[in-house]
Amino acid sequence: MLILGVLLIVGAHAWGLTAPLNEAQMGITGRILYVHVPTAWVALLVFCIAFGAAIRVLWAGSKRADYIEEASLEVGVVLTIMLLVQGSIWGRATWETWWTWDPRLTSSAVMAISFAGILVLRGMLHNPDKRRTISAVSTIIAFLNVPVVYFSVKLLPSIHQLQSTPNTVDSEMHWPLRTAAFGFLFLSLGLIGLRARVAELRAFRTEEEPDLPPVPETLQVEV
Amino acid sequence: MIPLISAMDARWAFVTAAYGISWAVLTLYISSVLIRLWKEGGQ
Repeated sequence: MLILGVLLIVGAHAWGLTAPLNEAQMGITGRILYVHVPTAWVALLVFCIAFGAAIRVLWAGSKRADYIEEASLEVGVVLTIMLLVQGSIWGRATWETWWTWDPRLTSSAVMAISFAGILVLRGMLHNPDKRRTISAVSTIIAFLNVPVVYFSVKLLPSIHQLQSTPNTVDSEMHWPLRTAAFGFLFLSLGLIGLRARVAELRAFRTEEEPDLPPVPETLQVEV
Repeated sequence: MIPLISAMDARWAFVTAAYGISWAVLTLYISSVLIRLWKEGGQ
């Protein structure tokens, strides 16, 4: 799935960089759409997976769901950081500013920071049960911002354009966009699978290892 | 000739930066996941 995702992204980006572009307002910089829009779609979807996994952790106490939640959070944060960098470059080219406190940009930055904070929190909690529960509750709370990110361009005054859909882009852009979106989706699902396996193996290792090393015999006191 | 090579428009620098940084981040992240998996004995 990982390799399929990479191949689709390479193909879609080669297509997007070389195909004729009928973009009325942005011109050449419109080609950033082929990487920015799929990144945004898949980042939001990956956080939905993390949210579903967090619900399952609280509902059923599933360890497997906890590993998937950790993996989805990490993949989602990486995608959101990419999204912010791409958006900043696009903003400089089209709006002549690297950053502005626009609702879409600000809520996206809050999304990246809040989910990254949960990953940091997970690293600080050594009790697996406590880590699972606190992480799941935090993920559900942080997820409340995800609909805000999605609807911010519709419901709030924003300089960011509306969501790109097949209705808002030229028909020649549909397939490169779709191919890139499926590429990012497969790549992210593959990465979540591998990263969840890392979390699972790490959990087995830390559960096998005692928290403290055995006390040397010279320090043991006969009672 | 493909537009990437033929165009002299300075805005290509922004396009190239967006794609380049995205690919660099993805490559680093995929590598880090594979290395962590290998270290944990998953491969």
